Amino acid sequence: MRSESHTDVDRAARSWLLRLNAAAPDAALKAAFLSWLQADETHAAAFRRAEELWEDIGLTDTLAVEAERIEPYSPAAAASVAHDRTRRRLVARVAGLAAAVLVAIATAIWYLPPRAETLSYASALAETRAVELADGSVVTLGPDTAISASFGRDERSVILERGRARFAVARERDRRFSVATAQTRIDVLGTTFSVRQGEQSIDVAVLSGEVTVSAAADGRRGEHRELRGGQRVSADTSGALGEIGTVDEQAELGWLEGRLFYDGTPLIEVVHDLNSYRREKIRIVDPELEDLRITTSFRAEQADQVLDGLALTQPLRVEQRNGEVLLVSRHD
Amino acid sequence: MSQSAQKQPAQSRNRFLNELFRNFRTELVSRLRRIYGNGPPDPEDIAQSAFTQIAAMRSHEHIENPKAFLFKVALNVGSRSAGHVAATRAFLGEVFQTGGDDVEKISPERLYEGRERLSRLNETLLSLSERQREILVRSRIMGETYQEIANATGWSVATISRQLTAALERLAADDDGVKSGFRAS
Repeated sequence: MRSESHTDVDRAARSWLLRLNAAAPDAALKAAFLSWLQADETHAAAFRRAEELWEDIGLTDTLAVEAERIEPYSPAAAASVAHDRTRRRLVARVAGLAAAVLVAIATAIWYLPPRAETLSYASALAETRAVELADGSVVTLGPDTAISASFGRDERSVILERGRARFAVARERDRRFSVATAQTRIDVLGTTFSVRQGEQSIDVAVLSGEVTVSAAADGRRGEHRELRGGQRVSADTSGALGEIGTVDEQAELGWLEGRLFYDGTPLIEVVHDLNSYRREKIRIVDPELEDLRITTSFRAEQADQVLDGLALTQPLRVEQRNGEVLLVSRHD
Repeated sequence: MSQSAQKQPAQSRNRFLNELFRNFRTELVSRLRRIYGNGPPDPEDIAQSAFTQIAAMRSHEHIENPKAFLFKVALNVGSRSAGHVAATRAFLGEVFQTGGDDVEKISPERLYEGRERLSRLNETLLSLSERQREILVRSRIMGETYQEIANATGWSVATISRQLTAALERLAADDDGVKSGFRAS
């Protein structure tokens, strides 16, 4: 076969490829390229050859190694982007606070007649937001989360009704701060920690300070764990407390930003978290799937890709039915 | 695709992916951070798409060096994430009525079957001037525009264009001899 690589057509094709990759092509360049492409029937094939060469250059070890030695363009621009992001996040948080305050006021008025002490806060699907409590403590609500807070003279108590939340608790020597979930109670003075109410477990992670986690189920009272910063513990559905473990900081920081991390986590808990970001719920049909161990990380909005990935790597199939996404066993 | 995916026992695929993820994820993200800064593209997102792509691949049999393969897939994702690269790809996708064929553009089989060609390209790349290599890396891997390369290096856009053309012509000329068997299309 005659080598075509040196022909003018091939050289022209490579030149077009580079021009198209120099910057986002404008209308004039697009039009010029199309007219070259249509001028002769050999042009398209030559262009595909140029593209393949370009693709393959990117697969070489040399460039992969070299890439790490070169400083990416404009750290200044990168810094200003980061700055913008922080500012946006701050604005979002302030806006969230304002909305939460409005809800709080509305709720307060609504409940005024009885004792006016319990305020409720909730976040929507896929929403993460911070609310400030009356004592200055800040609670970051994960998606689809509800809490209620009632502050008395001697105690500040919060109930995590569903979802997950991080608490940065203002220190007050004389008023304990407690968080109650279905099966546990968490007591603190001033600290930062987070609580997640899952499908089969309640997870408490302490970031700083000290926390006491106690079983609240009947027959388990008195059972408790003392956690320091960097430690975590889980309780199962019966309220039994597990061993103290180490906080996965990546995962703890991740969920605040909508990125979820799992390391050997049961599928049912992964699904539980995914559902707090979506309207169309995912349901595990076959109980044998619930305990499959999943190790992965993804952005919450990538749920569909995650499901595709699960279907490839796990013995399951994804079916869409009646507004639900079903996970069904697949036997190879 | 999922049919052939089942050829390999699901368990061993799963173990392979889990180990890949566990052993190399952190390192991959920090290497990507050196190349793309904090993004965009966000190194975390690039890493995640790389894992998703590998999970979707038909087989993992020919992966000789999982870490290096993962890194290449991630670079492939990263270089396509730049705004202008995506715009060009979208335009070409319309023109050629393609699209969505990214996953199989890079695959263990392709790297394996194309290893001779890739090693020839490697040799030529090493013989280019350092400046040409840097421009190639910035354009092809880091997804920078000529203007961005100019800002980063102080070279003029005209020089960048000329050097890149020269480099690509050298690569095309040396590549000529080893075309056989690799081009599937």
